[in-house]
Amino acid sequence: MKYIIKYLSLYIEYSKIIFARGTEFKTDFVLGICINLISTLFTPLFQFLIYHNTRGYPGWTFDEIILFQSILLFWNGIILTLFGSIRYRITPMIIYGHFELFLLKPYPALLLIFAGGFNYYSIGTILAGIILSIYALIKLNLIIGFIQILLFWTFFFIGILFYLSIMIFFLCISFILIYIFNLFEIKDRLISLAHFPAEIYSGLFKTIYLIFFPLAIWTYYPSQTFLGKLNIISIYACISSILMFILSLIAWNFTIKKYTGAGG
Amino acid sequence: MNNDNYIIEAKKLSKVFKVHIRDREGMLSALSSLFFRQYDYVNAAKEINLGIIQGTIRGLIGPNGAGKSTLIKMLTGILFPTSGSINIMGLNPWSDRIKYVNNIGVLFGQKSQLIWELPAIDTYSYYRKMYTIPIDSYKDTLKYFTNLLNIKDVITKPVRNLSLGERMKCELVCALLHNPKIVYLDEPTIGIDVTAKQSIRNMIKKVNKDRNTTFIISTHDLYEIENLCDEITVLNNGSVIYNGTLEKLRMLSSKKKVEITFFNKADKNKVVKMWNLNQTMNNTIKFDLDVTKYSYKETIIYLLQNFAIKDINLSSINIETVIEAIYNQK
Repeated sequence: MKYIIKYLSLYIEYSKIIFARGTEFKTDFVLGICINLISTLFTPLFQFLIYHNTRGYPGWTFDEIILFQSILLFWNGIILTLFGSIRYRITPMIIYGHFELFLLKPYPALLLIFAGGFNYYSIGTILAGIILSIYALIKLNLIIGFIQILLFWTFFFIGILFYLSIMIFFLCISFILIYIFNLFEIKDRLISLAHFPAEIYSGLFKTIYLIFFPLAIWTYYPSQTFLGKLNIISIYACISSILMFILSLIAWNFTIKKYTGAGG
Repeated sequence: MNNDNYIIEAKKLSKVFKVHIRDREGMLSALSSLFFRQYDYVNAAKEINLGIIQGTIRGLIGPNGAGKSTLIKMLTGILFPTSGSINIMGLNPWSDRIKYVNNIGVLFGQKSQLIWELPAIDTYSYYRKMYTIPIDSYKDTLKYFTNLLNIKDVITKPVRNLSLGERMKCELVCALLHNPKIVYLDEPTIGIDVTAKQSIRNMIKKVNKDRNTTFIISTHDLYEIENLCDEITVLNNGSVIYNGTLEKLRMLSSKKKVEITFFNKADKNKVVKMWNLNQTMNNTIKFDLDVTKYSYKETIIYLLQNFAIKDINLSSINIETVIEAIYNQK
């Protein structure tokens, strides 16, 4: 527990620094936040267009889709705010050898990578997600009980572990391949498969989505929780996520020993 | 090599890098390298043995690519050696990494630890929390260093606005803020002016004296080595060529510089002809005497007895020449 508090306080300290760095360049700071808010507002609009110009998603009403989208916005906002800066920082650090400075600090290097992930631009997305969620819950006339809230946050925290495991695997690959910017694009495309409910997938893809590579844990299961449609399968998704996280840590410990740095 | 006084002890340390090579230039070669890659194995460190006593300032010198940075990276725990072992303060830099790095400070001249957009004081504050330095101790240490380096006003300006010399001073404070027992400095004065260099050297000396901090300094600046280091390690092609004091290194040279001024030109010409010398000026001759072949004492006595000599100047070969000769022994 003491260690978690120590890490969290380090994360908060570095987040303050990232914020201070951003405010040094005022125009970019304001512009970045505005652009992010505008692009966030387009996401539900995009879903609205899809829903009304196609057959929509099987088994989902429009308001349910809005709930799904609001949770997606909230989740994306959280993930981008907590870890959004990593991809932009880590590639040059590995290429030019600055990563080795992490290895000189009295913390696990992985924690330091994640501690530098704070990205304030996406705070607006979290707010948009919360506002839209409240709107959808009211519109759907849903009453949320303690168990549902507990389940939502369980999925949320295990979902973070799953997200971190994907990041760690990609970081491992980056240590081997050195230049990985396009690899992060692949990761983004992979993660974007979670932007749609399970009903659009079928067969093996659906099983992978729900259990083995449980993208469903981020948005699909939490929205099912609120809608009262949660399936027991979600337990397997939690187990998969935790296993993925453990495996990613093993892979990281193995890969870090292979780090060769950059020339002196 | 086994000494209980050693704070740093490395045994048979080796590091081999696998490096991708492309023997032809141009686009076709780049394209073919996507499918067929050639690799070379570089022995960056070859069975290095090293022992450093606490409180010393050890200089690491060697030509570019000699293995200085690789050695520092292995000592600091950044790189895993291919073989060999390291014991520093009773710790293994990899398996005891967190405990170990709490006790070391590192400065890479070409890699900044400071946050570029913010004043150095913000980085220091972050480091205080990272190393859990008590606030009073932090304030005292910061005051001590800022006074030593005269950078009280510098640390409040954004790092991007500082000169290289000012930035390097701030980097040094960053490496020392948590009062480490050992400090590794990889080319700390690279590219900075004489005044800033001197200020950094003075600070290193003072911290070494006041706090018994051990310094390991890699540099190309031989003046720095002569004025700062108690001992040096000379590296070339990944191997240690010399470990010891500068004085001993000088003595390793078999040559002495001799400069003789004669009262008359005739005597000078006789000696020039006899020894086939070519460095002469007016009545003065200069030559390097190889003491392994000729006796230092007998040569001087012979000259004094047979020629009218106004002045004799004897000196050791300067350190640059000795080291250059070592570097050239490939």
